[in-house]
Amino acid sequence: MNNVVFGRYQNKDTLVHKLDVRVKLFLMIALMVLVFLPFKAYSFAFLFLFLIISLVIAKVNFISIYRVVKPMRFMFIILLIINVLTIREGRVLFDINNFLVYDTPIYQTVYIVFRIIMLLMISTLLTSTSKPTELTYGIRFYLKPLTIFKINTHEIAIMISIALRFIPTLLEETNKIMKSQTSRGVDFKYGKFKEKTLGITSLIVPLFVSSFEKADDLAIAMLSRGYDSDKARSEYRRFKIGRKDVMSILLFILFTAVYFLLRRYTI
Amino acid sequence: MRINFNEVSFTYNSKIDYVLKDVDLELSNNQIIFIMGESGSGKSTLIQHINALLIPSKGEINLQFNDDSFVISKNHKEKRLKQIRRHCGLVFQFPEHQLFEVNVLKDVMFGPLNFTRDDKLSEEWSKDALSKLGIDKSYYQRSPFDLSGGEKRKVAIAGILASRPQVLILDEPSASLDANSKEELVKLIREIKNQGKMIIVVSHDVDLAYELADKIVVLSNGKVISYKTPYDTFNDKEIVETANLETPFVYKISDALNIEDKNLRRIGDLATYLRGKANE
Ligand SMILES: Nc1ncnc2c1ncn2[C@@H]1O[C@H](COP(=O)(O)OP(=O)(O)O)[C@@H](O)[C@H]1O
Ligand SMILES: [Mg+2]
Repeated sequence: MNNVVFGRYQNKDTLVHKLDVRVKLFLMIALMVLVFLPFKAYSFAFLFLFLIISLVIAKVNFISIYRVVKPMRFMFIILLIINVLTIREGRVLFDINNFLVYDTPIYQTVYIVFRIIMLLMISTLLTSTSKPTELTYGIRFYLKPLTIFKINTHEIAIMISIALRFIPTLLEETNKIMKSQTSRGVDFKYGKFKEKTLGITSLIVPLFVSSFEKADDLAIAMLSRGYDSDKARSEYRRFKIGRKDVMSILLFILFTAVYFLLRRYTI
Repeated sequence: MRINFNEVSFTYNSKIDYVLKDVDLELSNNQIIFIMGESGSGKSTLIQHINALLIPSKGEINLQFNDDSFVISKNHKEKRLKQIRRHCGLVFQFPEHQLFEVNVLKDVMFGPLNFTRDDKLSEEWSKDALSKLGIDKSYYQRSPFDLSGGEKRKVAIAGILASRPQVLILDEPSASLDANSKEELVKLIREIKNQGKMIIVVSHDVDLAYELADKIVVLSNGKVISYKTPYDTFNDKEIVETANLETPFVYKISDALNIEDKNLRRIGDLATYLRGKANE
């Protein structure tokens, strides 16, 4: 739980940080679509390589992604077991006491794990290179068409960015409460099942209480500083699409073209 | 009982600087020890080591209790962490954030139950701890969330005391407390000391430290720069300056009047002393 940097803006000076947030959001969503297309080995390897290079350019710490993936390993193992038990097709790999293990469930699990890791890479790329205020602006930009239906897009955008902003705070809070319950004798790691469930209660209740208190404080602080959700906001920042943005979009189009060519002509 | 830090260094993240650097400390007997230093100097990090919530990156900590001893270090996998936590009660900063049970009594019983698994004993110890903190029977069935800030803090402290630790560690207990609650806190700390326990207090309150401490540890940038009696600590201008400490009121007056009596630690003591001088 310590040192969680996932979801937190990292103040660095890189090409990715400098891109317009609207362009970044568009590229991220496009990348996610590519990740969700049916699995094909070469095109996915290419996509993976592209993500790695982007993360390197953005100077994102790979350890931070590893830290998020690591606790999921049990989930992955359970997924593998369920797949092996339920998907009964493909080539037989081996035979354990008359129980046949096929290759398809193993491939399926690998595809899913691979996809999850790539999604994490994409969201880390976005959140660690864009400030919450920029994200609000970007989300609002794409929600603008909804104003025709009298939907308060600013409110939605501000809700999303507050949620993003509170992820690290909540993780810190969780860490703190976990520590103080540990010193009251809770064993979150090795305790028996009953102890663990009680331990979780002792974590969740204070977390909820403090979240509601924080939300209340924030709402009051916003009101007292004159926040009015109905008023149209004036932008004090001018976002402009520049040469870097255009280059990135062109590069992405080129990448997408290669991606689809690979899908078409390879396995 | 004795707590020994041997060359303890600690880092939260190996890429960042060490938060504690080569800390050597011996805390012993039933003393009141204050830990002082600027924000971020590593006070909270230091005390979480005593409770084995953090394990030293280098060096080791030896804990010697009345009937048992422990070693905490990276290489030595101590399996009895729960015992350590029972012996060293740690009250976190803003402990009221840890309350969660449906009523006050149950919340205080949470710790002792975890450690002893004995309902009757836990209840007895909890009621005892609550009465020490001035929380009477009428509070037992109330929800901890309906109490005032000061009352919540008392319940949370009772929740640690109820496990009857041999060492009590308090992280900034007087932060945002009103004058009355602070006075009660002073009384409580004295009373616990009289029971033969060791008390470690992290605090920015120099007057409180001057009045209560047997010894003061001063941290600066993760290093222990001084470990002396209150008078000697504040009499050392270099330490006061390096750690950016305020000067206690009683020390300031004694210093201005050129009184070199190390036993004047409270305003009351000072008044008695001055009255005596005036009568001479
Ligand atoms: N959980 C943590 N993860 C990373 N760094 C931390 C953590 N807790 C504290 N630190 C850092 O360690 C240093 C010392 O913190 P702390 O022990 O809380 O100081 P103090 O209690 O004296 O104010 C600070 O620089 C702080 O930023
Ligand atoms: Mg602290």
